[in-house]
Formats: sequence, C-alpha cells, structure tokens
Amino acid sequence: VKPAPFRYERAGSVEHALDLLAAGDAKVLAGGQSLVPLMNMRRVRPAVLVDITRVDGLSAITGEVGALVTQTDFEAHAAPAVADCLPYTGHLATRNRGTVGGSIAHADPRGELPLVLLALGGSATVASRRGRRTIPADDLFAGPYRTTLAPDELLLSTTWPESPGQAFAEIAQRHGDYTLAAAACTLDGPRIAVGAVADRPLLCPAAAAALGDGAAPASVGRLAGEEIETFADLHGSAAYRRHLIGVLVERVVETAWSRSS
Amino acid sequence: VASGNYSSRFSGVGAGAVLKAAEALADKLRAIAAAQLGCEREEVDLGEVSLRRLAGSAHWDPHGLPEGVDPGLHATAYFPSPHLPPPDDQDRIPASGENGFVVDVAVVEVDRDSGRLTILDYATVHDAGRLLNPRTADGQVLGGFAHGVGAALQERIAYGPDGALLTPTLKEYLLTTPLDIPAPRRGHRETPSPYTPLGAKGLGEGTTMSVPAALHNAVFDALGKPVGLPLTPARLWEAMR
Repeated sequence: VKPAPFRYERAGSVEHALDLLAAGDAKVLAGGQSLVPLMNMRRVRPAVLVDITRVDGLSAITGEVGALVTQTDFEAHAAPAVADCLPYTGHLATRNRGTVGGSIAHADPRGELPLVLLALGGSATVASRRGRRTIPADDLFAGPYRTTLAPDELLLSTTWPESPGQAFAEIAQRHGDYTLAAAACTLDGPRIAVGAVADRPLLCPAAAAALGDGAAPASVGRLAGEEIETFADLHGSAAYRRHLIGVLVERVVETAWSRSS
Repeated sequence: VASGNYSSRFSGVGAGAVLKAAEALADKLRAIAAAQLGCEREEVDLGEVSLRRLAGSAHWDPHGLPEGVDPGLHATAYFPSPHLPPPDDQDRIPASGENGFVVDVAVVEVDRDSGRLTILDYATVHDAGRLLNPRTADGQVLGGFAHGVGAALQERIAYGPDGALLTPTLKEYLLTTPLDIPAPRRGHRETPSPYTPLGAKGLGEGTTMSVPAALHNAVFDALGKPVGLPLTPARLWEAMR
C-alpha cells in the first residue's frame, strides 16, 4: 500500500502544468480519490506526479465546469441527470475531494460522470503546449480508464447541457458500491447511454432513434438491451446485464418525460 | 439452537469460575470480619460492614488475621462444565457446554426489476438463560445479525473453472456495510440453565447462524423454490425468470 517512487511537482499555473506534462511520463493529481489508491496498489506508476490543485481558474462553474470543481460542489449544476448521478459517485467523503475533471479523465467504465457526459452530449476542453481543443463526449472515451487525451494534454473544463428532460439511474449490489449497470438519457436529441456494461460508456443509437419516433419507454429499454454487447462476471450473467439495461433505460426515459412535461 | 461462541467459554464457563472465585473471597472476608467483630462467620453480612477496611486489613494486618487465614485477597477457582468432557477414544468432543435458543422471523421483498432483496422487517428472540449484561448481549445479537446478513446476501469465496480465486480483495468479496443492514427487533426470554453456575447459556454469534437460514427461507416462501446462498441480485433474478 505504498506507491512506487515518483517525483512530485506542484504546478503554479496551467502553463506550468503543461510544461511539466510535456516532459513525459507524468500523471495529473487533482482530487486523488482514484489515482492515489491505484498508485498505492502500484497499478499506476508515473515517474512524475503533477499536482494541479493550486492552479487558479479551474474551480468555477460558469457555462463550463472547471476541472477542479469537486463532485460535492458540482451539485449546484442545473443539469438534472448530474444531480441524479452524484449521490452514486463514490461516497460523501470522496466527493468532497474528488473532482469532475478527475472523474472524466480517469474514465472508469463504471463511472457515473463519464456516462452522464456522454448521454448529454457534453464536451471536454483540453490543452497542451501544442494548443487547445474541444473534444465532444462521443469521441472522448477510448476504453477502460482510457480517454483520447494525449499524454501531454490537461483537461481544463467540461460542458453539461442543461435541458429539463434528462435523467440518470443505476443499480448496485450495495449502497455506494460499483454499479452493476447504469443508464442516462436526454430528450434533447434524443440521446441514450449506458454504463458499467462494457469497457466504456456506450451510446444506444437504435434505442434513441426509437425514442425520437415516439416509442414507448419499455420498448426503448428493450431495444437498448438488445443493441449493447455486454459481458458476464462474478456478479451476474450477460443476460442479467441486458435485462438491467432494459429496466434502467425504461426508467430514465420515463423520468425524463415526466420532467419535461 | 445456538451453541454460543465455541463452548460458551465466557458466560457459561468462564463467568461461572469467576462466580466461584468471588464466593471463595467472600468466605474469607467473612472469616476476617468474624474475628474482628467477635461473632460467628454466618452472622457476618458483607453488605453491612466496611468492605474497604476489611479488605485492607487482609493486606496490612497479617498479625490480626484469624488462625488458618493467609494474608492477601485472591482466589483461583475452576468450573468444569458437566457437558465438556475430554476427547473420547475417537478424539471427539462436544462443541457446546450449554445450548441457547434462537427464533427468527424475516420479512423480505425481492425487486422483480433488479433482483435486489430488501429486509422489510426482522425479529430475533433469544433464550440465553440468565443475561449477565443486557447491553453486551444486545451487542452480540446485533453483531451476529450483521455478519449473518452479509453471509446471506453477498459474501462468498468464488473460484473460476481454472481454480483461480475470483474474490481476492474486498473489491470483489462484498462486505455488507451499515447502510444495508436494518436494525432487527430483539427480544429475550430468560430460562436459567441448571448446568452453569450463573444460569447463563451461550449467545455470541447466534444470529450469524440463524439469519442466513431465515432470509433464505423467506425468499423460498416468496419465490416458491430454494435459491441458495448468497442471495445476490443476479441469482434472485435468474430464479424469477
């Protein structure tokens, strides 16, 4: 439970952080609620840890959500699906330290915030010494704990569309446990995504198209369960996960409808 | 039927030996008091004398002690339970010095959508003979209940087809947390045991044994078939298909 040796650098500004990341083999430390346990288990062994917690300008919620906004402070955001998912994001104590940017960059396939960002069609703005770019959520998640950010890029902020007709739901084995399956949707689009059932959060285009055509929530859910390739593990079969996807998608579509009317 | 915490070592056996040692010390104090007061031992009421002075004189006045009474106040006593004989010729021993009794009633709900089980109500009634300390007895019942709920709902050691352990850490081996453990209703009947000095029987871990059986039987009643432990959401959902 002790990390492999690493060099610690405290970034004083975004530019300073980008210089440190450009030097290579570095990880960004924000809230540290996922990264530090992984380092202690030696699953992650960066040569350099770039601490951005003292960097100014990353902690505000304006139109964009700064990378250092804590999950607790994110509760002030107006997007209903965000409010739905935060109670399931870690625990109260970890939410006080854990950041929105950290959750997105960490890209846990079971993470609630990556799923909701994808479902809402949000985006992430990132920077490196080579410049800035904005990545749509559709192009952001590349695999388990992998995003399309380059190693020298720093996540600066994210956007979360705020329409009223959106919702999130999940089913876990215990309170606060990793979810067995999760779903989120917005009627704006419409867009539907599911989480924890694959190596990254996945969109359900067929189900979303049916929702756009006015299909009933139950049949939208059934379509989502059919179009997603999922897996079996210790905690349940693939058939069980497909069933959960159907139940959860039906649930979030119903909730989104009731919120928008 | 609960044997209690391996042979009821504390309440049934250990506390019985403590009682006998305390009785031996009380006899000694009566002998000292009788000499000081000039009366018979049987006439001494330890509730009526200054125990502090009496106990002190056993230490700092060895010359004033009556004939045959040694200085100091200490006693060693043993309680060999009549039900705990040595191993027989096949090396068998009884697991229990005395048996307490448990009756549990569980009311559960299984969510058709997710297979998750919710304990709606739970009552557990014990007869552990004379309760030596109701608060610690309550703690034993609650602690045993928590372990029982964990064993019934989530905890298991699983191996893959290749023999690899699938539950090596607490990330895969799911421990039940307080958020998932309701407070059971608790009751006690006290039928003193004739076989232990204090009438106490075993109590510890009683609910650890009864809870998995009661929860599984409640699910059996709801679904009409046995499901097996632990009662995980996936397993309950498969049983309902």
